[in-house]
Amino acid sequence: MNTEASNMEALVYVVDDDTALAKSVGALVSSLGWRSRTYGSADDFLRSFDLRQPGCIVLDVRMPGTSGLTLLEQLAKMPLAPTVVMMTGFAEVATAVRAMRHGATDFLQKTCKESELCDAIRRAVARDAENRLAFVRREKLLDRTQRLKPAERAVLELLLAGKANKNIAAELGVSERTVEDRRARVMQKFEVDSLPKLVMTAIEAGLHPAY
Amino acid sequence: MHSSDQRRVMKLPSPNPEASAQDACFRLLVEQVQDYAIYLLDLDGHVISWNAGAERIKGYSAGEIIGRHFSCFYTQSDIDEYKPQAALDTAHHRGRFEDEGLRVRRDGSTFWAAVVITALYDESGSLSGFAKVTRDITERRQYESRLRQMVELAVNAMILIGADGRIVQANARTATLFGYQRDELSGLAADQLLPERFRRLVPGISRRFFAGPTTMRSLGRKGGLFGLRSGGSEFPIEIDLHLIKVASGWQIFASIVDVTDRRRSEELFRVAVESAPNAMVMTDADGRILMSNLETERMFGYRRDELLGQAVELLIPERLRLAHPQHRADFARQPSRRAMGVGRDLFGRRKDGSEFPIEIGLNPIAFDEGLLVLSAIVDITERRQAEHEARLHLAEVAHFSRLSTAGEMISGLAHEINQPLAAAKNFASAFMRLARSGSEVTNKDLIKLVENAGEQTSRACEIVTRLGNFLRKGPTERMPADLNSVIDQVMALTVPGLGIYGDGVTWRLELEPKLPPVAINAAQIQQVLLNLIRNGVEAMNEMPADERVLTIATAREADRVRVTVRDRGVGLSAEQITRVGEPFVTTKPNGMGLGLSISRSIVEDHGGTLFVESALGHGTTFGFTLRIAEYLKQAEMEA
Repeated sequence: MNTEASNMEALVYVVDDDTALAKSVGALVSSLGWRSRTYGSADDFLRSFDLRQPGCIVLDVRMPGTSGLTLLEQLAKMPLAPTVVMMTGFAEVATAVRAMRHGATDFLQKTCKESELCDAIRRAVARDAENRLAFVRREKLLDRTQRLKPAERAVLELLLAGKANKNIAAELGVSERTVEDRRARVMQKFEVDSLPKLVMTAIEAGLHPAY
Repeated sequence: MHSSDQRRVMKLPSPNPEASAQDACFRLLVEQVQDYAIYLLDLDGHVISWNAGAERIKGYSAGEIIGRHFSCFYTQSDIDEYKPQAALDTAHHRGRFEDEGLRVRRDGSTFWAAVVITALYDESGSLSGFAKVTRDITERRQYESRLRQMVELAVNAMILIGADGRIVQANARTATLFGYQRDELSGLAADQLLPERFRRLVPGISRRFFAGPTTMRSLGRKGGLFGLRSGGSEFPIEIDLHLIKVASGWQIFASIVDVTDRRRSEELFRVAVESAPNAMVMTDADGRILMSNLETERMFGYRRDELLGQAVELLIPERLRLAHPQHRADFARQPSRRAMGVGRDLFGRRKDGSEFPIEIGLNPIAFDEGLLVLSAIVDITERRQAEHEARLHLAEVAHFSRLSTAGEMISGLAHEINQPLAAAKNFASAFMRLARSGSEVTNKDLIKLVENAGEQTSRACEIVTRLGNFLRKGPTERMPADLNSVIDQVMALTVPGLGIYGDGVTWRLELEPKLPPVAINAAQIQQVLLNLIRNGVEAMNEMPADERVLTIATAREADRVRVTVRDRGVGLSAEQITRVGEPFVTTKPNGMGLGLSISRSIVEDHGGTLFVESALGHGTTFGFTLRIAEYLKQAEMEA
């Protein structure tokens, strides 16, 4: 029904010690077609949020108790945390820099235009969706990496290091034919059909080229 | 030469056993008498009878004395002068001898005796002996002697004047006062002690006095009477005259006081009052004006003769007159030297009806006739003017200081205002979207959004209004206010106004409920509180956030309300404490040091006291006390 509600699963958390402001952002979010949930403090939020829930957080910088920035830093350490739009009554450059460094998607003043807030929330929700897709994929690749036999993994690592079959065979003390067989099995498990694709996927899976 | 009826005829006691029973009774009576020595002498003066009184007074028993010559009762010097025989001779020739003199007891001690010797004759008319009656008058003599001494030593001149107007007797003071030798006074015409101009009045006064019903008169009580010294100089006197009866008729006892000193102090008093720079008004128990001075005439515009005898309410504005007799009655119940109407504005009224502010000191003077009150009145028009100007000046400075404080707080306050405005804007946006979307939204939801937007707008308005009240110059007069609600209002400004400096501070309010109101200029007292709170918070800047506690407390203390702001900072040294509140003294790197100085001026202008209690390492408590409004009123009632 609403074009903006591209991801109807998304839930927007609003965390602000000024509960009236939190509710007003909540109302705006609802009018945009998303579900919203408001919290009066960072600690309340931490107690009840669900990591699996897609969406984003609209987070106040200054709050008594755990501040917004502290919460942001804690979220940054979690895998698959929701994306964060920081809001502040005080526009301070230092705070903004710190927020962006810790992964906030936007840093807004509370008096910003409605469209800025809507765009920021939209971006955050979209980013969250992307993050979740990337996460799923990464998980899958990680799973594949773990299915490699040690001998296959050794060949892959040397391939990532850019070595030719001949050199790999010499280094591992096996025949060139054996190296070719193992490389074929690795490509089969990673579901790729060319060496460049294999390297890309391996990097994506968290295996780094050994230089 | 003696008529027979003057002669006492009495039988001498005889050994005749047939003496009559009457004689026996009489003798018994005489023998029992204790107060008088009664005894008989024969022709030569030998004692032939003795009674109990004689034994008591003279110390001899009957057996020791009967037969001895009565000269043993006389002193040696009297015997040498033949006084015993002379007494008998006189009694013989005149029938009676009376004398007062020293007599000797058996133990050789002397006493003062009153003696009567009567000659006794037998039936044939020839002298048969003497009866002697002696009384011990030592005590009476001593009393008379003391009385005489008292009169002699009296500070008043005392004169006894005969019916002929001449002085019979005068005491020593009379001589020194009037400049006479003692012996010049006896027989002197009493009116010589008065100047010529008074003498012609004397006969009239004497005549009326002798004729009149009273036995006492006073002259010169109201002044104007003078005495005349022998040297011709005059001096002011007062005279009390008493009519007293003596054997020869009436005499006048005059007691004369030299009132030179009293008149002088009266004159000094009059001059002092007259030349006083204040208006002085003396009133009697009924509130009538007995006396006033030159300054009173000048200050109120009445001539003295228009004031004397009038009710003192004449000098009071009409609107206050009705209540004044009650004030006077209250004062009369508990008179004391004090200022009238402490804490209340007093006004005087000039003859032309104009009013002016005054201050009055009351001095009660208790007399037998009733309570007199001497009031000293000061025209305080100029002082009031100066106070008014000082207050306006303080208001200016305080206002300037509030503007500058508000400037320092503005970013914090802007946030506090933006917050509800942002919320209102969000609610409005949500409303617009939903209303336009045409989706299944209920009116109830929409109304709720508009309501919320309205509420948040009001919240922003409140803060702006509060800030406006704080910054307003406002009227200088004071209104009764509850300090607890003043503190609430200040907190609503201060906490956001502190911005991030207030982060982490735990605010603790210990407010005594139901505080009586105090009369204050609310904006100025808010300013004081705000200064103290900001000071307290800044004193804790260096501390870990969770240790910053600021306690704001109110408490009632007798006739005052006490407000304290306590921080847990490092505290002040003794030297810093003594300098607290001096302008431009500050412990803060960016402070002007004017906040406390202005706070103190404001509190003191409100009649209160600003104080600080602190010790290094134990935090600092700043506070002030203000007088309770109802006590101000009560103090007025009492005055």
